[in-house]
Amino acid sequence: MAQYGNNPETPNSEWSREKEDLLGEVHDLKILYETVAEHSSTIENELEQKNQEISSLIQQLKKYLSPQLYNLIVGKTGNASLNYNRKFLTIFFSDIVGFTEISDRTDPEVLSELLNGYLNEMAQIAIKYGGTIDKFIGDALMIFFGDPEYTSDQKHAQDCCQMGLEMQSKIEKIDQQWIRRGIPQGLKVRMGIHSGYCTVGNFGSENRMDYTIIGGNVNIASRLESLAGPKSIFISSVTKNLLSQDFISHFNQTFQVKGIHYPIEVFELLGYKKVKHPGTNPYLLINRHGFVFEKIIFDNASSNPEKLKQIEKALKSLLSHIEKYNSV
Amino acid sequence: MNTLNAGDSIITYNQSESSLTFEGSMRLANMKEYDVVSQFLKTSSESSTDTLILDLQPLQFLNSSGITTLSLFILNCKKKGNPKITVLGNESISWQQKSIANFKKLWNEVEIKI
Repeated sequence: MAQYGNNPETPNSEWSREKEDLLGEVHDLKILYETVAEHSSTIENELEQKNQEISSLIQQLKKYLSPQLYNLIVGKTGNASLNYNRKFLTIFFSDIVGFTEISDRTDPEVLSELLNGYLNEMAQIAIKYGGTIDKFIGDALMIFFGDPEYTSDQKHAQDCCQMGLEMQSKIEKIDQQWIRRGIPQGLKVRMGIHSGYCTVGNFGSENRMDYTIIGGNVNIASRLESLAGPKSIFISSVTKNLLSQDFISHFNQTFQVKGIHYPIEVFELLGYKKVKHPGTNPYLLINRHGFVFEKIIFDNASSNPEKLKQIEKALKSLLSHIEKYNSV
Repeated sequence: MNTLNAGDSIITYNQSESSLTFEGSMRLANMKEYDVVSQFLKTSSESSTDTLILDLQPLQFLNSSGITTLSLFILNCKKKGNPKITVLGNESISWQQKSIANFKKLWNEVEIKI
């Protein structure tokens, strides 16, 4: 009977060697696996850290872009290219009256603080109404509605006009702050709004581009702004025709723009009847030009006590306004 | 000196110094694409008699397939018993801080300098 146990050449010792080799390979593979897994984790952690850094940078970028444009760049396409298209937009311009004089007479630190405060307030109102802030040009603001997000021409015009009215209302409060801070003329702003087809897109070079609008209608909006007086909003007849009856405006003038054959009718935007904040009377709107008193249809059977109260209040305010006017 | 371009990275074999220098960012898509790297490492190691230096200091990035390729190369050298391997690392590159030390686990005779 053959004895294999102690002979190095026997199958048993060969198996042992093979087993040892295999165990060695398994051990190596285990370490290889661990090496790769640890390496992957390091890379993943680094990736996560970089993602956080990018998110933080994107958050900072948000300050400089309108929310719509921000979403367009960050959320959907991930790329902004030098392309453009024609769109019907409502365009808004505003400018501080006498700003050159203010800036000559005011300490630069105070001026920059006040100007930034004002522009910040205006930007917040613009964002609230969904406007795309095109640019700040010194003290001037250029905003448009209708791109990159489109709802309807009417909605854009109405949002833009409401934005303008809310801005003027906010400016009245800021005006007092400016006077208190040593600017005797305070803050008075003129605004212009027009609607029409514009070319919208990214203009510039591949390395430095601006998302903006160009075209004759942009110039008209700018001209309307320069025609407007302090604290007033001038709108074109095109914009006016897109507004609901809740907006109050009156005819101001016609003007001719170079390159456009027909004269443009200009209206001054005075207010909005259905102001949603509490305390506003739906029947009476008082503005610096006078007042607008709504037609009242009172029915004994259907009119409720709340309506009666509002009518009574409107009439009292109206009489008081007339008395005040007569006494001046 | 022999060089191999592997995507965004370059591997240079300096026979007089018996060293392989890895530069750039190694991010080939999968193990199959790394075949060409494996072959370059194998050929280089065959002409290195005693110790082969793997200089990873200028290598900014190495993906999982890349670390697997290097690990298999080290295991192959271990199996043959030569050449001995010295790995030069860069502690300012985060992946190198952890992953290079693991080469010594694969083969105890690997020398790590980081």
